[in-house]
Amino acid sequence: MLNRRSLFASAAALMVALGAQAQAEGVLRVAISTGYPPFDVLNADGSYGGFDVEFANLICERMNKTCEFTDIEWDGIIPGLLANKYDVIIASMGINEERMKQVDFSEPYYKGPSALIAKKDAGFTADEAGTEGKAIGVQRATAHECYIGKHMAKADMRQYATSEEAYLDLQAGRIDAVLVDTIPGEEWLKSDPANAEAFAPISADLYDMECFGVGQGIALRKGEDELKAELNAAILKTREDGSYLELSNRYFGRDIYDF
Amino acid sequence: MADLWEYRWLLLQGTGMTLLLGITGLVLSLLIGLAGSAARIGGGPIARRIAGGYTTFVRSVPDLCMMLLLFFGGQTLMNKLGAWTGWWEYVEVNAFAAGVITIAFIFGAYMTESFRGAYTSIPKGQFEAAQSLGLTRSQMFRHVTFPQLMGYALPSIGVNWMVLLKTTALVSVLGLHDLVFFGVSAGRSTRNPFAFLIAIMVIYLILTALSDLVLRALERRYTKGRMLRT
Repeated sequence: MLNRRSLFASAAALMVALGAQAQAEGVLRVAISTGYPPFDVLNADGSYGGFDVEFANLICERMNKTCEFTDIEWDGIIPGLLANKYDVIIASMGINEERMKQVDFSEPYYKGPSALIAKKDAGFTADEAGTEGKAIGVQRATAHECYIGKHMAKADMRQYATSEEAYLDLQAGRIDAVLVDTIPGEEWLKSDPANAEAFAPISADLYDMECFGVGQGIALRKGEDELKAELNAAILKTREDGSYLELSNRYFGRDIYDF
Repeated sequence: MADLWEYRWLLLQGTGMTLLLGITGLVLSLLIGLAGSAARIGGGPIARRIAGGYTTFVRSVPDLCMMLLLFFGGQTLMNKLGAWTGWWEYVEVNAFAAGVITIAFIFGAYMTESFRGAYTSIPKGQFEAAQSLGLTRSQMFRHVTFPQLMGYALPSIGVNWMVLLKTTALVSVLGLHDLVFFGVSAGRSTRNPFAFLIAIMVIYLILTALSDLVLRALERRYTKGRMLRT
């Protein structure tokens, strides 16, 4: 009997501890989604790296908090925020109208247009007529879906869980092009000489306010205006003290704050 | 290959999570299965209908759908309930618990059907013999019904286990870090996805081969006394 009772007691204690841990003071719970190099990377020792992660740490420092990271699949990242599993998403999430129906955003912390990447000799243009019947890969639940629907409506859109899978199918020849964010797209081209030789962006930088919005921002739940103000102040501080520029230069050799 | 070696501890950690989820899920689903089949066979009309409805419903809904509903929907419901009653501000629905409960809930339905099928395979004479020996209900369950039930149910439990083990991969959408989550994320992070996918496959193969050995040993044990019928 004693055993059973102590089991109940420890189970109850554990549940209280779990509940309490989630609301610890001085902690900002940050969601990321690794597997999006060079922004969100899972290191071999289980730690997280990449531009988003280092940027998040800069933000937390300037809010006098410590970041507590949750690595979650992209598809589950907004539901998790809405269910209060974490406080913010710092995972290169584009600010657009569709997402703003569900969540709130900080000011953009970097701006990246999109690019259509295809075989160098593909010979089509990045507009509605040019992409008619072409198979174009996008990461699902992203702004690129919106862009294709609006500007390349006759293309055969293929949706992937992440852009990495879209690249694989581009290499395999199953799709004609991928529509991706320009910066990680360039990184992908650079990552392997074979990529740079076979593929290139076939469009100028693509912009669309309705789809891509104004850049990538920190997502938070609606109605948390105090947190939003703190985040915006922290972003400004990283600009003023030069830490942002150092980070951006280290990763991309240029300032991506204002593309 | 160098990448794989570098990430070996993470892959091992993920394998541990996969096994932990799988085994906890298996034990719970077996318990649900026993209770469910008991209700379906020996329960009153209402218990029978509930158990029957449960297995029909669960087996026809996609696992992923159920998992997302329970985890995210459950959390949102808890938060709303807390805000409405003012009893709590935020209670975390633990990801591991949500994963295990969903897996047990789903596979409990399959196990119910496994046990029910196995029960009907036990020759009627066995129960009559037990009764005529004057065994109590619990003695009959322990010495006559259960050993033979396991003998007949094991092949189907084995199949369920293998599917269950692979279903654990779905928990990565809940933020739990199992073998598939670590493998896929590492593959994307190092831009070397195929090496990691093959590694995941090999590890699952090893796990499956090992469980096959255990299952065969169990089957030998539980079918020892089975009469050969011609």
